[in-house]
Amino acid sequence: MSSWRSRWTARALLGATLALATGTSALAQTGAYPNRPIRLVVGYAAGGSTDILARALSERLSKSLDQPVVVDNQPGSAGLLGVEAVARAAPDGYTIGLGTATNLAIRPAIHASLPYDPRKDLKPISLIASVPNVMLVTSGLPVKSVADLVEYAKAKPGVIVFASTGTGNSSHLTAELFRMLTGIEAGLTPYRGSAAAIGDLMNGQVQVVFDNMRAAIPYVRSNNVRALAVTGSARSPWIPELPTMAEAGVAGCELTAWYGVFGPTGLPQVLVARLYEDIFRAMGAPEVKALLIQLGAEAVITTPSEFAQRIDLEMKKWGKVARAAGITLN
Amino acid sequence: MTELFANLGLGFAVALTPENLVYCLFGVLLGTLVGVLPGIGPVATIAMLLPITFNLAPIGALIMLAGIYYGAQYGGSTTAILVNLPGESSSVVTCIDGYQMARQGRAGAALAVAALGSFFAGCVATVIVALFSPPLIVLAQRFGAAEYFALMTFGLVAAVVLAHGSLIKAVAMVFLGLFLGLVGTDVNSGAQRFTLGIPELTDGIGFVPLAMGLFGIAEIVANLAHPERRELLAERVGHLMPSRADFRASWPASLRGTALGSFLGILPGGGALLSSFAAYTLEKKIAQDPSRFGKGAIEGVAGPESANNAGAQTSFIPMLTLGIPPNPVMALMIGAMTIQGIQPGPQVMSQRPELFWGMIASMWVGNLLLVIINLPLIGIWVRLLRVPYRLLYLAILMFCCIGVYSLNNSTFEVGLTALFGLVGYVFIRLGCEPAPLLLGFILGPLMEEYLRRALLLSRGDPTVFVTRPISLALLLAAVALLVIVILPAVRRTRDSAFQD
Repeated sequence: MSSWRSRWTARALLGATLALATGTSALAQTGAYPNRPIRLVVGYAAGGSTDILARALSERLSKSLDQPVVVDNQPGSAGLLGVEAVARAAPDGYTIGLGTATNLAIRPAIHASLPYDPRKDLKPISLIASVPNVMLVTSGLPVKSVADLVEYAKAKPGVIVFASTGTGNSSHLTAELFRMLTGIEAGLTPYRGSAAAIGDLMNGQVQVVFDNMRAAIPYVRSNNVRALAVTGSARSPWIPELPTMAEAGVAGCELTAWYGVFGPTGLPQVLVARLYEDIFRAMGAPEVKALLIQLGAEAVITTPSEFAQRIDLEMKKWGKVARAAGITLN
Repeated sequence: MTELFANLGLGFAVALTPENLVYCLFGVLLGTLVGVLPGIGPVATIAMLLPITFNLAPIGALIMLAGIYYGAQYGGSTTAILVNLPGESSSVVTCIDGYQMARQGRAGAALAVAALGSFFAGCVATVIVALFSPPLIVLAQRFGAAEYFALMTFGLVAAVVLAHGSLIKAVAMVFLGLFLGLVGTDVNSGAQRFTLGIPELTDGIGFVPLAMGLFGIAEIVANLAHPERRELLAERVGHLMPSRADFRASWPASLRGTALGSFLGILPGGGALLSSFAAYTLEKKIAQDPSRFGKGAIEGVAGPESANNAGAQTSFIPMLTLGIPPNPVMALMIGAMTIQGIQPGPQVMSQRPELFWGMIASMWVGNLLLVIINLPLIGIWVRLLRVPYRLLYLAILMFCCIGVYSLNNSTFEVGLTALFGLVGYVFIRLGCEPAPLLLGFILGPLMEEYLRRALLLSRGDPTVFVTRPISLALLLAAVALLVIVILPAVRRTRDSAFQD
């Protein structure tokens, strides 16, 4: 009897706590938040760009939130496992994630079945940084500009082969977008990772690769490959002499790999606002800015609603490209 | 030549920083330790340490792991000579004459000859690695998808041919490895294969759970299944230095062993194990009185001990230049580099010269450290053999679990390790060697990738493999190797060589 009663009491207490936590007084709740460590899930192994960014962010957030923000690496499946873990977590603000264009927009748009839909199962908090792709061509190719390349490819259909650094990532989709917009006839060979693709680009096995700024910079600086354009909306401060795709004559061939913080859907608005504010401040810190330069990235902070719009827009765009190119993953 | 010195200078500058010296010392100490302890080999040790290396600087991690490998070649001979237990598979032949020498009270001489022979071989092999890596890299940069595919075919065939034990079992294990390598996401279409709907398998079966399970856990289980049997001759180590006659007999054998080992180490499927067997056979063949072998012939210690150390070091060449593992230890080293975000291959030398040359220089430093450690510490190593295994294995198992979990924060992979441990034990009971499986597992997905890429780039024309000269030569070499091993006469020789 007494055990039943104590269980009942415990349940009542639990119920009361739950009511408080999810409950009516959002203000009271933010007063308490955060009162235990926060998990920042990263869908990539420690040491990669996303992880480095997450660790810089978590260090600043730990200070401003006055609670440890722990980076939790759950690598696998192009970061999808990590996003899924956040989508399934309780929307209490203690589990947030750092995702990328690949796992928040591209993959969701081209996968036949994915365990989450970013528009339904996630709550975007803030976009934090973006990295443009660079169009690299093998130095043996007699082209000096994007226009040259298009002309060359049209004169010799089927000679040019693009390499991608993976299937269903930004390198792959940029190549598809470029082929679609210019109407050139060119092959596409997927590689496992950037080093292998650029290796074959250097010895002329393939002719064109879109790779992200961080991976491309060392090769461009050592003159092993030729860079023709960047895929951002503006020129990149790292190679300012490079034109954007639009300037080079291929309007609409715009793609940046971006990074953004999100939580599970149902995350209360007041917590979203609090996290956004702290992330905004963290990304402005000089150390974080210095780190972004190393990663070839630029800080791009957007409000939660702008971030949600961005995801929606990009999903539509990549869905269209994927359908046109006949890409579906499962 | 001046460039070589400049490169080696850079390497030594990296290898001799206090931090890297400590990693090197730690690596060779640990290597000697696992070499001394029967049952724990460098493959298992490196597999267990893989997750830890993640938090180290890449160069320190690789220096340490390399030290474990060649350090184990030194330590393995100690137990082989003193207690007739090969601490390493590559010191199996050292048991034959080394233990006999110990019984005659010449253990000191045998140990010293083994250590000095290994040091000599290590020095020569370091120079060979430094000399031959750059030209091989130039060659490697002309390799396209077709050439890589042909090279890997050759490597797989060589792995089967050179594996000891049953040929059919080796082939079966290679195929099992190939099949396990199929699990995951197809690189071309992005389709999932054999993932059974388990999200953790979308990137394929993890290399660390597989290697740690098959080698580490399975070995522990196998060791526990056998009662401990130790016969110590510690009190009879005798005087340490070999006599003048010993020196005269052993230095030509060391020289021959070094040459043979250096060459065999470079071949796919080669490495320390094959080198030591081949060197012993060679010494016995050219000896004026072959009947002395098996009764304490010092050449039978000097030759194989030099050969296994030379082979251990030159097997870094294909790994460093082509990104192709010639043996399971190098496969693990590739795993370690990948964890550090370094894609092994010809670009490592140009992009990370400090890493490349630092590692080569560290090999010489490590060999020097090993001589310094080994000669005086032999007495202590022998005492370590008295640690009861029932205490040791618990600690090893625990570190394995922590290691696997910390890699991807995944409990699934811990379970996978346990599963492969069980599978590995079954393999041991069946007499199937897991090494060909590991090579199949590593090379299989790469072969498929290169095959399909070569065909994509040639627009579906399969003649690309025979019209490109390097590719054709490699494929012909693979066929030749296969024919040789199928010929019954050669097969008998191979079998007898491994039985010696």
